[in-house]
Amino acid sequence: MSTFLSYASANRKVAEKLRDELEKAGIAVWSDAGTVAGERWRDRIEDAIRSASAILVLIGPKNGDDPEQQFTWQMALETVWHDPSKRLIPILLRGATPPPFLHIAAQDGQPFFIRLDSPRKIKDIVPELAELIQGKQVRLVDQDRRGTDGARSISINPLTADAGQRRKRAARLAEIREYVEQLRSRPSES
Amino acid sequence: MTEGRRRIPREHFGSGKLTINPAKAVFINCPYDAEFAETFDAIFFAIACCGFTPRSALESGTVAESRMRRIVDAIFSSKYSIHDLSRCRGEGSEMLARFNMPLELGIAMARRFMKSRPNQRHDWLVLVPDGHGYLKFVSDLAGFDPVRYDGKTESVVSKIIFWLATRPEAAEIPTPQAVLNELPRFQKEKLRLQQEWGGDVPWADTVLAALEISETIL
Repeated sequence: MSTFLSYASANRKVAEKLRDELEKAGIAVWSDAGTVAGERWRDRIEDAIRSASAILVLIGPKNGDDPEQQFTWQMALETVWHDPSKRLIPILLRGATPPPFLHIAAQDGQPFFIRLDSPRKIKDIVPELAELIQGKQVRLVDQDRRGTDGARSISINPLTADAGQRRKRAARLAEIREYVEQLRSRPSES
Repeated sequence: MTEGRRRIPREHFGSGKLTINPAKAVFINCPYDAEFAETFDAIFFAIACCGFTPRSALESGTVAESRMRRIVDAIFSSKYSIHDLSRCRGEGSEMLARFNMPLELGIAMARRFMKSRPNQRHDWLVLVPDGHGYLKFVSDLAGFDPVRYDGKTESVVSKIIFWLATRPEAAEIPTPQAVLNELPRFQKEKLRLQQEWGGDVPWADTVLAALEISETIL
């Protein structure tokens, strides 16, 4: 069983720590560390994602505009869509908001994400991550787990629709509807 | 001076009140004939369902402008473009190939790489048919990942959704299956509009029809 780890270069340190902890727990992790971006980079990423049984996606607050990361997300989404037995597991770092593609990343149930507020808590989330990677059922109710210091260390959150985006979309629709009505009231064209 | 209805110039779809936010605009570059109509509808509808605005050379624009001018304007005011190169092959008794699609892809590339517009990114999705031949089709595209698809509606819809869903401007994204379920309703509405307009439907009407149906999916 192999796990693919996707991350932006800005989150490399967190990703490396996460990979180390997962490997200590006996989970083989493939990441693009040491792979040079370029023509072959994309082929290698695509092959690794397609052959992984689970895909971990590390999402930071400034992610989303990095072409390499966009490509990785696109491949991950396509892979889990075509093979629902594969699970995409999003981990949101402090300040990050869930990217919209996560809404369609879980074909077999409610989309979710894991919040990781501090890299210091990585060890605490490894047991749950291992369960998720092994395909165990996701518990969607806020799942607090106490670390050794008693602090909240992990929560698996249901992903809900963004009401703000829906309002913007409705406003745009109203604009186009008004424009179409104007067009219809002007049958002649110069 | 004759009495009568004052002729008011029609606003271009992408200008004036209907200025399209370039970051949410997707230029479609594909064949527009009957053979490709079903795929075109699928591309158009998938874009609208993802909350982006489809644009193309077919927009009802200022007819005084040349087609090339309108294409260039539409591409340069769209952050995204989709290029279906699957019909770039010899056709007819003279085996002539259509070069409109590679030409328009070249314009999109110019927009992306122009040094005078370093802050205006342009991103594209190039669709090619399954098989190895097309990987060599425009070999200079190596590293820009032409996306292979089998020519079926199901395939093109999912490729577009996975691409747009992972762009920074994506908002609410429906599943490919949800879009495919509603695609026949869009096609039926488009047909009704064609009958109503007696042929060519203004681009804005088609966009509106797609957006209205997409609202019921989300």
